[in-house]
Amino acid sequence: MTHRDDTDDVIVAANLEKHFPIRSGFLGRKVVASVRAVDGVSFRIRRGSCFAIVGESGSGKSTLARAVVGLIRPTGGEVLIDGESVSDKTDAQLRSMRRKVQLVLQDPLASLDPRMTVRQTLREALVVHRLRPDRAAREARIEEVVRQVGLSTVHLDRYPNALSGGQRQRVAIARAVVCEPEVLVLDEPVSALDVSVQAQIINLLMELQDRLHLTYVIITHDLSLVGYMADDVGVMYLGRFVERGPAYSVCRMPIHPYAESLLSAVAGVDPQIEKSKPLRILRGTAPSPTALPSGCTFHTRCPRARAIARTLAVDAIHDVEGEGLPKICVTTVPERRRCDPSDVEVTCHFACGDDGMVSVDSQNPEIRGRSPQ
Amino acid sequence: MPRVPGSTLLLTIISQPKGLIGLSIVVFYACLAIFGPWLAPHDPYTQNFASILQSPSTAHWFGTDALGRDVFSRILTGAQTSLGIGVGGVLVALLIGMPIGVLAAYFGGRLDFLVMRAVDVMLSFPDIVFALAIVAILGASTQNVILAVGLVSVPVFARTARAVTLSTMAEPYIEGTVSLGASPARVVVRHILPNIAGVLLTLSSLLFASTLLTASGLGFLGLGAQPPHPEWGTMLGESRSYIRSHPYLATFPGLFLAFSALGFNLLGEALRTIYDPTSPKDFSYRKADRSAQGADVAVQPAGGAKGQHSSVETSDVSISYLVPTGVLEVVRGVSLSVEAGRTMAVVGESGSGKSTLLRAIATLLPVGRAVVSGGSIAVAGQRLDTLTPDGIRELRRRRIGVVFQDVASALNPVLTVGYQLEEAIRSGESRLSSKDIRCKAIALLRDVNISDPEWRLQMYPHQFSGGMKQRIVIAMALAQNPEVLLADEPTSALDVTIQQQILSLLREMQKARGMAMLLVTHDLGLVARYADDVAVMYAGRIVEAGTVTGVFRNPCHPYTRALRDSSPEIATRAGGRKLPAIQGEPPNIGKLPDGCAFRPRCQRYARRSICATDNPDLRPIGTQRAACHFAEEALS
Ligand SMILES: Nc1ncnc2c1ncn2[C@@H]1O[C@H](COP(=O)(O)OP(=O)(O)O)[C@@H](O)[C@H]1O
Ligand code: SF4
Ligand code: SF4
Ligand SMILES: [Mg+2]
Repeated sequence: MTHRDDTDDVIVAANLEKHFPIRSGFLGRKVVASVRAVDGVSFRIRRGSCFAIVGESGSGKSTLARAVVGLIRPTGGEVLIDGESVSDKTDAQLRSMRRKVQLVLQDPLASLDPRMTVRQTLREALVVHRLRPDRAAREARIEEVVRQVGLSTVHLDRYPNALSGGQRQRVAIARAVVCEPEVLVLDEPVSALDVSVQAQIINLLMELQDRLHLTYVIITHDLSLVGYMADDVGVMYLGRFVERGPAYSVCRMPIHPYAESLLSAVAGVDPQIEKSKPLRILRGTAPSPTALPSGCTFHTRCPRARAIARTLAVDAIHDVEGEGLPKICVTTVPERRRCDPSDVEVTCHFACGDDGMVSVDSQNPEIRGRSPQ
Repeated sequence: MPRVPGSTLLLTIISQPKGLIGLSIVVFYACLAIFGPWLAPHDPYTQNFASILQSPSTAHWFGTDALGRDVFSRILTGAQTSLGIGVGGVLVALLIGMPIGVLAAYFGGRLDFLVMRAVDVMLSFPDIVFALAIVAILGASTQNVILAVGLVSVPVFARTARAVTLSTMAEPYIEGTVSLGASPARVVVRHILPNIAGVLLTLSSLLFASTLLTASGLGFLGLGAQPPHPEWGTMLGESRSYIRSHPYLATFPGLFLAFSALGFNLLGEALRTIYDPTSPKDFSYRKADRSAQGADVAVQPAGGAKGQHSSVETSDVSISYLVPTGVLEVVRGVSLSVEAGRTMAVVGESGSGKSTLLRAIATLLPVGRAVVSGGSIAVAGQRLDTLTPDGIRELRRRRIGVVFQDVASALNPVLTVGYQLEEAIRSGESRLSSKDIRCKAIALLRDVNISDPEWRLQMYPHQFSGGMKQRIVIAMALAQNPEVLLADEPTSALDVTIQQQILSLLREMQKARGMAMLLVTHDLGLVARYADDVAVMYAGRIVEAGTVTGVFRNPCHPYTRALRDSSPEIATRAGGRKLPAIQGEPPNIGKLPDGCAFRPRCQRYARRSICATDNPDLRPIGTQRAACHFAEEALS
């Protein structure tokens, strides 16, 4: 992972930003504040790999995914898909680009038009992109895809409400792959499904990825899914990545205290282990993205900051609502850094103990730049 | 938005009285408009000064007018024009208003703003004044009346079309289509229009009546269809000088007008109950007391030893829903008991009957739609089917606390949290002073870890986050110190870190107060972490039950084992290793196979015939109970 060939990156996001203005006044002319839904996020996704974006509601993960697909235009930074910038495109160019990047949404019933049969839904995708204009070829393609996702041709003439949840999600996946995309963005692909069906869909997705050489972007709140499917992962909190790196290390040994608490929320099925394991339960809820906390945005909930404050001298402690926190957490935004020897980038002042802290940004300037080469 | 295909639409309309009447009237008028001129016994234009202003008779059913023309024939002939103006007006309104509304919603921004302001301005004039102004400018003629009454209704159409388009666009499948790369035109034509058509149809029908009346108003003022052409409004206008001497001249056209307005209105109302999500759907809903459930079940003595009882005890309970096709039994003979001081989890896939069972125990089955069709339930030692309505209420108030997934609907949005919490406390203890009640409310909020309770009591539910609301609901459930806490997916709608907060809170409360908790969930990890006992449900029956440790470590039923193995744990992608998945589809509760319901998905079945013929009973296997003919194979 030291050197990457750029042609190998399907998606590059550099310093991506999406702020939603909150307007008021006559004709909504005055912008009174903004929701910083995505606030300076950078990553690269290798062709054929699976990148996971993990976070809780309001962390900005859906907004980030929609900016990556070009469904919303970022207010800053840029996204390159196959080396081409999404932001320079006209709406018409964007639409044709969308063939390459397809979105699969969480709730399969809501994301399929109830008035269209499976066949009509799949046909529409082909018609929109003017693929297989020949009728026979089109129907053949539809039947091929339906089989690929594990349905049979008897399902083709059913309406979504005549299918089970798992079958509907298979249709949604079929609709995404029918026009031969390169990237699938999967927004909580299994969280609306039953546990017994989740495993089937996860297996299907992994099989399709191998077979069709797809690149996946998975949006989820579930670290166990990440451990299972992803190669790389970015953990989002309030519009920024607080930890990003290979899934095997983030899911096993998270470094950022927020990632730690997400991991701790994943319960295994062994009762003796689960009942004896110490829980790291986070206090409170995430603050509003319209009024981000100063310094490290996680300081209002951070257990590590509270633990460390107890060991610090009085002049290094800042008092917040009767609680002592390290001054640096409240006043200074932590830089992205990497704790040697791992590949994981973390934004926490106390990430790597006392030594071994190397600022990523000073090492790797091109990630910050607006146009990585 | 409900979607209704054509043939069922007709059925749904005529199944409602107002729909049937409205549709009949509308069809009657349509026939009148089409065939009227042929049915007319006299020429509507022939003047006969020998017989002017005659009263109704056999020769002239509705009499004759000031020029001696037959009124009946003029009404029949005028139907076409009168109704034509109505139809034309609605069409004008629809064709102009709908695109404006849809485009305003689709493109939003400044266009939307301008359109909506213009609509507001237009809506602030009375219809007739507006229409008068238009006709005054364009001149009096039938076409201009159509244009005028149509333009008057444009704002209403535009506003409605905008609103329904906005709500349709919020549906994920629209976003899905956009992300597919479909052009705006395609999105609008293929996805938005079909979905808003129903609402616009309803509106058209309702507006038809008012359009007709506005048009007649114009006709009455002499601005509509010009004489000698018959039109009901114009005829009314012509009759006004004779209103005292020959009232029948106004009566008949007036009746025809009023009746048609009524018909279209009724039809519109019937359509509205189908397409308007806020209108009441359940026409046959029967109001009955909740205690009616299970009333026809034979009374048996409560099971178990006297004096000492489980907090919850169900014995061979079956619960059925009353559906249009008959009775659907979704819980099929469930026996379980929850002891005080323990948490029992009920797990299983959606549709397995977990929530129905829990609602029956909570005495909250939907009245008239579900019944306990067999067996018995006892809560805190009291058999539910022997209780009077007062007894049920008392039980609910004092012994049972419930926490459901849908936090939003558990709290009343227009009342403060403090009011609702104090109400929950007061309903049990009438003797407490309001000061004591307030103290207790504050203490309860502290118990559920809400900081600044004094100040929070004055806040409204929407001012709290989802996790906080769930804490408040838990506080309300605990207000009466219940013996039994029933929680149905209490954290499924919450974020993972909040989920842990709420579950450890529930668990802590359950232990501290020695309650029995029944926790319905689909997340086995949470069961492992927070429950003592577990019951696994499949297709309405318990297939395995026991302590969590026993069942999860040594599952005896193949379903339990598959469920456990398919829960993804923190594992990293190891060279394409597959997750062990349960094959096949979840069971269809109306069409279960013979024998064991799990057979179509069972790995252990191996074509043994007893599985296909006999439904396995829940029986003791080792330290737990399992319902599988070959459960022992798990032990070896
Ligand atoms: N169209 C919008 N206008 C204003 N705020 C928005 C809009 N879309 C999302 N947001 C806000 O952006 C933040 C991130 O939202 P989202 O990306 O949906 O998070 P997640 O997917 O993690 O739930 C939230 O605070 C949300 O309210
Ligand atoms: S910088 Fe401080 S507050 Fe932020 S995560 Fe690290 S320890 Fe916690
Ligand atoms: S009874 Fe037969 S079909 Fe049912 S679970 Fe046991 S082995 Fe499988
Ligand atoms: Mg989301």
